[in-house]
Amino acid sequence: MRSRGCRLAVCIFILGTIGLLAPARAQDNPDGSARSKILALEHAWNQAEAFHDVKSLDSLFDNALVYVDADGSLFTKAAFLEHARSAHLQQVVTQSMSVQIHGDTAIVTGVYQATSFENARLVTRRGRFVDTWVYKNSTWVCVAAQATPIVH
Amino acid sequence: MRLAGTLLLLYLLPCSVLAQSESEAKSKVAALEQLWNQAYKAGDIKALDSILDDAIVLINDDGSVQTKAEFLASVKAAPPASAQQQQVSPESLTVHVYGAVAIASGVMRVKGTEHGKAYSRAERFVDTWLYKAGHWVCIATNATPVLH
Repeated sequence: MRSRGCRLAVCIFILGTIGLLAPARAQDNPDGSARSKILALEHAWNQAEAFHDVKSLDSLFDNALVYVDADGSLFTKAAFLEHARSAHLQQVVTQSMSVQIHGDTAIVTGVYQATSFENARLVTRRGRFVDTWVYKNSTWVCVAAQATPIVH
Repeated sequence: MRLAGTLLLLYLLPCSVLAQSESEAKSKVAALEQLWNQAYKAGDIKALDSILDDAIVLINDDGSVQTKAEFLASVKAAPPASAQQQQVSPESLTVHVYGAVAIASGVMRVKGTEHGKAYSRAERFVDTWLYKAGHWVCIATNATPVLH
């Protein structure tokens, strides 16, 4: 499972440089407003997962969420929330993140590095993720998320 | 009575249209997924160009990223016995529709030859489709090898 806990440090940097500047331009640029909102939601996701805050995670995901982990396994929303409730924390740092807005749809892509303790040794893996957000009932919800290991 | 019937009809009509639209959207997106596989196998650049958005986010199964232009160029550059040597056949497909957005996910079987060795692996994919200017176009695609 690509736990997103501890992606906070980099996300705070991104929000500080992009998100906090965006509201001043939001009236002129609706896409910019949506972009900063989506970045804030990705940040909220990280926080909620780090603190096993299942209630917050529940509000971020659509009920029909499609979640594909880095090993190709498929999680429904219920399975993902169950995992988040009990998952042990691994260090995951987002190295880059970008948002594309298509009206009421947003595509978030980025690269993460996950470090975990396996068989008495530290293992580090890099991967690329794609999250799809949809504006539904006056709120953005994540409808799909997928991670793929970077081989080369 | 007649007014009540008319109101009921007006209430039900959008629901049936909406339901039909969602069903049509699912069928359309499923057909486009099939078209994508066929076009890839045949090296049909024109068909691929029509179903992929110019700003598509394309993540390959090794985590590499390509723009639409790079992807089309790679298909075009591959000789007939190279790119098309990779056989892609869908094993499952599910489509969720959210108005003008559709999420197509499933598992495909990829067979080919790499460094002289034959391989066959299952990959899980998620494609995001957007209804734009009267057509469905793919705006994001990602594939992950299934390890377990």
